[in-house]
Amino acid sequence: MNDDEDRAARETNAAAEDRTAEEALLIRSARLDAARDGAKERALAAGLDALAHQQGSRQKTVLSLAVLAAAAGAALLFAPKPVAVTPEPPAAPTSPPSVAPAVPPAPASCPELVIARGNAPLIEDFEKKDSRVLELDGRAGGWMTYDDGTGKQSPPGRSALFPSRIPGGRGKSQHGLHVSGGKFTLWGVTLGAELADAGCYDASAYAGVEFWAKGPGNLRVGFQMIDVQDVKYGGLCAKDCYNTHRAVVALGKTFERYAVRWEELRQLYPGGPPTVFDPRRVRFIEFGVAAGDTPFDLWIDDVSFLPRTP
Amino acid sequence: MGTSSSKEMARAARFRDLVDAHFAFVWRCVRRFGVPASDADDAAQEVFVVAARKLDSLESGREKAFLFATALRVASTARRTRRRHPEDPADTIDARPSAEQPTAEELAELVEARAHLQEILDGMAVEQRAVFVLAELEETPVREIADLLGLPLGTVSSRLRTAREAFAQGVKRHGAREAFSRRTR
Repeated sequence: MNDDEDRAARETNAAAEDRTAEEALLIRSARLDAARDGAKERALAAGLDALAHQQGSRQKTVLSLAVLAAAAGAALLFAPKPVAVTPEPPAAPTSPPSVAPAVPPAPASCPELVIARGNAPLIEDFEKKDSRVLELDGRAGGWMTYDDGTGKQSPPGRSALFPSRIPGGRGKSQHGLHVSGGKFTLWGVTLGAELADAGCYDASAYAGVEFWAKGPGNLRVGFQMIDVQDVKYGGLCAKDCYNTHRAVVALGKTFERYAVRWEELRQLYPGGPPTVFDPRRVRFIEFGVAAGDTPFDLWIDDVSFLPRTP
Repeated sequence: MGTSSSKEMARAARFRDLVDAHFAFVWRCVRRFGVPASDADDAAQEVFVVAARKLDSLESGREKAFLFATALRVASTARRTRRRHPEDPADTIDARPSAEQPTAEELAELVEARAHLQEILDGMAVEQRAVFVLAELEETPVREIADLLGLPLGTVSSRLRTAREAFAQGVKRHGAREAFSRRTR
């Protein structure tokens, strides 16, 4: 074993030792993945068929050779060029992780913190084809939707959200988020995005959030702080969790602009820490439809932080 | 005629050995390169049909490298086809264990974990994904990976480091999403 191999082997051992329980579970899940019964036998049969067919073709070729010999010279003149086997095209490179702006020491309870500078308020205009938020001002995350499992929505719950074409457009905007669904009976439907991937986002450089939306119906817009997330899932809340700070806006049938300032965000239920919203410790922006406001048909577009006025 | 027949038998025997030795590996590779469980059997079969057709030109000792490269191509085509047919049913995860027998509860956990793993792999560049799948999921030594991919050892190690970082970051991100999605009110 040479030095490179030795180093690689040490790195592999170290990676295995440092693996978290979650990482180990994901890796184990792949190692246990297996084909359905009979799949291997079917592949074997199909391959043997191909071999037999190839053999048959060869024999036919040999038998026909004498007959075709006279025409062979002429045929060669028109022989097609060999088909080039094209190599696998490289996948589009993934965009490099956005570089977070200056990161001063994080608050004790927020393990990773990205501090916004306040110079790029547009969170998402949905004009790209992907589900990632615009990587501006240190932000990184993806749009997804979840529901309480008691009804049906489109796109379905637990899926990434991609922009949809707005019928007829909205001014210069051609795409937005579109989610619709039937009746839900527990807490309803949420769509949202991380702001700093797995970390916290300090949005205190901004004054709130603005967006365009249409319903009709009530829409809850909020920011989920790490403090209200269950400790079991990496949050800091032990009891009465997920009392996210939200504001309720009544949407009309046509697109309108809505703005919510930090001081308008409230916890809508009793209990659960904390009572005052702190924009320095947010993990997700979320839009939600409460079960009582379903069925629903919701469009959201041009989501942006509100700049602080001097 | 006898020589021809014995050659035929030898080719068939070689192909059988190829399937026996590598079918599970190829099947898992097409899965990890984004082919849903419902299409993975067909994709793996396609890889071996290609191998059968090219058996005579397959260099002895290079079979696994050929199968891996073919699996990547077949998976790529399968993914593109799937994108063109959005009406296809949603991916289902085959929960069948191979060597171990998890409990029903563990099985549910593993099925969910597999979907999360796939999300993370889908976010990796194909070069990183190839070395990660081979090293971490297939437990292939880096020397063999370098040989399979026709790359210098240093390049494999460097890609593997980047892939491991991407994986760890993906797991963290998933944890954060769990925190977001587990809301109860």
